[in-house]
Amino acid sequence: MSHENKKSSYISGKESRRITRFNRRVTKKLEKARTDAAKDEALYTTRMKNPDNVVEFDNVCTYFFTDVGVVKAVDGVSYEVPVGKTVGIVGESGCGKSVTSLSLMQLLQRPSGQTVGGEIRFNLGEGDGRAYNIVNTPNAIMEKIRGNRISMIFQEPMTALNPVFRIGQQVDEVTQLHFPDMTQEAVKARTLEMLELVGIANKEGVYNMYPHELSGGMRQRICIAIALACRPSLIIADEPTTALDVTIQAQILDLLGSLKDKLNSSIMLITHDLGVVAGMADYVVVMYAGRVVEKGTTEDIFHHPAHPYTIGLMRSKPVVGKKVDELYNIPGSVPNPVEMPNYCYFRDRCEMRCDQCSGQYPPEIRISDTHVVSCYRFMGEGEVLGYPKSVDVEAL
Amino acid sequence: MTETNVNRATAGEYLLEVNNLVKWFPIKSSVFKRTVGNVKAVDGVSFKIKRGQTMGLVGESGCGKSTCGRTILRLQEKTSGQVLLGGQDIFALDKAALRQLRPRMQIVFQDPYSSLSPRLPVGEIIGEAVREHHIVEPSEFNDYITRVMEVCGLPEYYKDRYPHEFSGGQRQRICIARALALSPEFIVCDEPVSALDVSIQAQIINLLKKLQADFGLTYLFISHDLSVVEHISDAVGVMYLGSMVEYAPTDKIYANPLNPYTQALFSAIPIPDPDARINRIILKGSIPSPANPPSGCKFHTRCAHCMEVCKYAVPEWLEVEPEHFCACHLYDTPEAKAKAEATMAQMKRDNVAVGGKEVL
Repeated sequence: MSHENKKSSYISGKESRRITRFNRRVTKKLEKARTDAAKDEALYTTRMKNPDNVVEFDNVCTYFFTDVGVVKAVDGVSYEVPVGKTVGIVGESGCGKSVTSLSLMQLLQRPSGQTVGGEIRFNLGEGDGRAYNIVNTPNAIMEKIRGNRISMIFQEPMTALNPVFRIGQQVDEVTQLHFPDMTQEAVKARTLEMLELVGIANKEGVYNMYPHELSGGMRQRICIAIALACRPSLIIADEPTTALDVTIQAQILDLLGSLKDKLNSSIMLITHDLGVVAGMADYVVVMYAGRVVEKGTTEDIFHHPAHPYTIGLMRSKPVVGKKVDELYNIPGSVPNPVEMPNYCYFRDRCEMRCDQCSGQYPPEIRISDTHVVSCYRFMGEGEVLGYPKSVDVEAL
Repeated sequence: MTETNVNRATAGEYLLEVNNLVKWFPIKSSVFKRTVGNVKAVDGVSFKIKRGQTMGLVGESGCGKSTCGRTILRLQEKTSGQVLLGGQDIFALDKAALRQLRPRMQIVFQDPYSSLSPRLPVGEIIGEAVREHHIVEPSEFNDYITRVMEVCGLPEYYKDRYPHEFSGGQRQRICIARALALSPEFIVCDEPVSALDVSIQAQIINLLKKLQADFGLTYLFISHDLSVVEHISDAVGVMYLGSMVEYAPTDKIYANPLNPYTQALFSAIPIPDPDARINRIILKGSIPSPANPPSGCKFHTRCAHCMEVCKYAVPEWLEVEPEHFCACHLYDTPEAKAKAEATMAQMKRDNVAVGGKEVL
């Protein structure tokens, strides 16, 4: 950083007005395109590439049109979640891992946050590979999917629960919403069954309690009960244990793993803790600055990390039982999200960079059947799968 | 930063001694403000830290680690007990003498977003206490702040900037620089890296270690991240519900944890290796309320090795192995066992109710 850096963050009044005008024009256009697409079912139904996946992300681009410029929070992200498996998504804060999952749920803050490109294919589970393209799916259908087919567990259980309603009411609500024909008694029976499933001993008592009467671990169990009430095919767990203690974390992860098998759901586990991922996930996706830098099975990532960022991340975490004098730290910091460079985003922090790195952003290279990495060091060592597709905002 | 190096050599081997420290927070009734109970946040904690070393303090949230750290610095008054810093009883000092002592002990807080004043530029945040305590001559002031910032990896031109312009890692560096500017001997690090990303965590931990090597600082490192504590500490104390349950040098406690709680805590650490299949001891339930802790051994409600005696008698703090302290009836000496059983018999005769109310 230097003095020039300070100047570069300054925006003149003229420039600011130009950005505002541009944002208004583009978001209006995108919103209109969305409403048009929602009218025609053909525009939002599609086919899965592989019917064994629950979700396929295909070059998803989610941009935020902010007052300082366009922030490309997610820029050409592709990965898939297979049925009945756990996919861990790892990265530092601000790398776009949460935004990817919010795009899948269509929970982005519109109109400033927009999925401008790519496809998110969500399997309808009818066995013939028919799928919704979530990007264009109208709200009426999304309401039936959210909480029913895809549900989410949030980081902070206290803010996820409503403090003025009883626990029972909050779990009931999900069932009532998605199964309006169920009788009051049936709904309550189901809620109690869910509470028992998540390991709450005193279920009748807890049914009538308020969130503040419960400890953090118990609250997170309630959130899990709410998320699982409709037996979703995909559970998004967004840092489910970050706010909890280690002993409670072990309880919750144990619970999530066993429930996943019971309900045959898939889990998208978003976290920054490599230890949690190693213990839970079947597949791992490593994200950096809005792009996937490496993906593969858990063994691939932990035993043969290929991308310099993954290697750095592993070396910078102290591990119990392994003594090191000094922890490795990745030099520098994440590039400014408003002005991303046109070469590899990690080049300036990378200790293994070569001349090629100053060229175009590296393509995805398949280095083994399951292991894909975006780094020029592996150019020629595997099949090139393609470059992440960005959307040119000026052309919108 | 050279002035205090002189008097640093004078006191004994241990810089900090905490003897039976107790801190209770009274619970007041709603109308007459009568004390109806106490939250026993810290309930009889004793340990010593050697000069130039780091002691890690671990435990679940609500076990009193932070209260312990704050009470040691006399940021709040104790209920009973004693804290000696370099042989001086901190709680015996009057206001003026305590003020004299303040520069020698500092604290780095957990959340770098709320512990920096948003209205002061960085140079002033770091320099405020320096000026207040007359650490350097006014003519050298600017130079001194620049040097402190440099040591913490902050360039000089950051001086006129405000905290909101910085990322979490940089802010934590500012917090560390603020503590370091007074050339302290002892710093309480209250979860300094929990709010930071993994790669930034590594930077801050390395900085803390470097400063310790350069200036001979003594740290009390409070954290719930056991892998970080193992990396940075020379000795580790484990707290549960206000009491210390185990204390030993880091190598010993990680290789051979004695107390069942420590064993469960360490087995719950997630290990970043998919092949590491460890026998996880999963504790049932959560930490009981410190306002109404269980009788006897406080851990008996969740302990897998719970015996009859655990419900009645409080385990003694014993040196089970050299330098390895533990409070658990499993490791009682014959005398301690006899004493505990006598207590149990007496309590049974008196029909004392046992157990504790568990928070759901």
